[in-house]
Amino acid sequence: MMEHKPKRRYLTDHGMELLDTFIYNKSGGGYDVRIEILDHYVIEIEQLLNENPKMTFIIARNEVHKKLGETRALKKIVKAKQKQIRKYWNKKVNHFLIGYLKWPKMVMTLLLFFFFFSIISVIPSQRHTMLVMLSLQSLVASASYLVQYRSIKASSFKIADPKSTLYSFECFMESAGTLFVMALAPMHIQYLLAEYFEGRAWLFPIIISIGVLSCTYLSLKAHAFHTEFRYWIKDELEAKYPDYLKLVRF
Amino acid sequence: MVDPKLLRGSLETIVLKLLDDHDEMYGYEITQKVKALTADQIQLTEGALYPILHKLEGQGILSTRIASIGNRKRKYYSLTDEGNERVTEKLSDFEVFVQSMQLILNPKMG
Repeated sequence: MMEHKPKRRYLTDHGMELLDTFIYNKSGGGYDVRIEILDHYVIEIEQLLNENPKMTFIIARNEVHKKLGETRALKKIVKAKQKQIRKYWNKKVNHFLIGYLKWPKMVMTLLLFFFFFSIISVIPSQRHTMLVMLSLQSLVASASYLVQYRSIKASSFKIADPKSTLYSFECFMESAGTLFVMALAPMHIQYLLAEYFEGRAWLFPIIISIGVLSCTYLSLKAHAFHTEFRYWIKDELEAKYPDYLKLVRF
Repeated sequence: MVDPKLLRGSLETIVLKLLDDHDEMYGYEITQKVKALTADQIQLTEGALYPILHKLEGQGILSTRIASIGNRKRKYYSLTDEGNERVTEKLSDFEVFVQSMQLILNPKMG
């Protein structure tokens, strides 16, 4: 007499969909994380269903969920993935910013800054200083508007290419405005600490240079996070971590 | 069963060694292989294994491939060239560690 072997049970497409939704609701994970967890759950569930033919899918799913560590384990996996994505993002941002730390750019930033500082230093009264500052700021803002926003209005806005001359000019205009405003701060420092700098005049340009370069670096970092940078590496990030936007926000 | 606290520092070594012995493996396969080789003494949980795999992938030590298996996808892991170098280093470090522990646990052997 031939032995009747029970048919092996497999999850259907519908069962797979239900399980995927369950995992997503429990973990909030993106595609990349979910396909691994789903595969793991499916193998365990199918095994359980075949060992216990009378068991239902929901009971099997809950048993496996409990066995594999429940929501806490899922969230741990998602958290670890989020950490990896942020690490990769930070590595790319720092690599981009290190491009700023080159002698020609740093020297030009400092020359520009001390140029503005010299202008402000020779203006006789505070009222005139404010007028000059406002005029130059307006000039910078207008130039920036003409270069950037007119193209948005004409719907021809493209994400700037970091290597393009136009982008370099835009950054220059923005940083020029910032540097001009920053030139006021050293004047106050020099005035308030006049006694300290007596006999130590050589310290003043060093301290101010370190301050200017640090502020420019930090403002570039903020700029990178909030403007074009996320578009520049979007395709690269998507290829490495599909659906990464479901896991992290930059 | 081995105390999970003892296992924590060795997970990376275990994963790298298994992937060194096999062309490519997927997550569930790794957990089952560890269970079989150690006669159930070591049981890798999902929550412990996948973060290690993702970390090694992020470091460029592992590469991944997604394949279609029936009505779902499966992610396979394999060692990169850098991973192959790392395995040698890790195994050597672990052997030194085991020998050092033996000297502490069995001082007469020293």
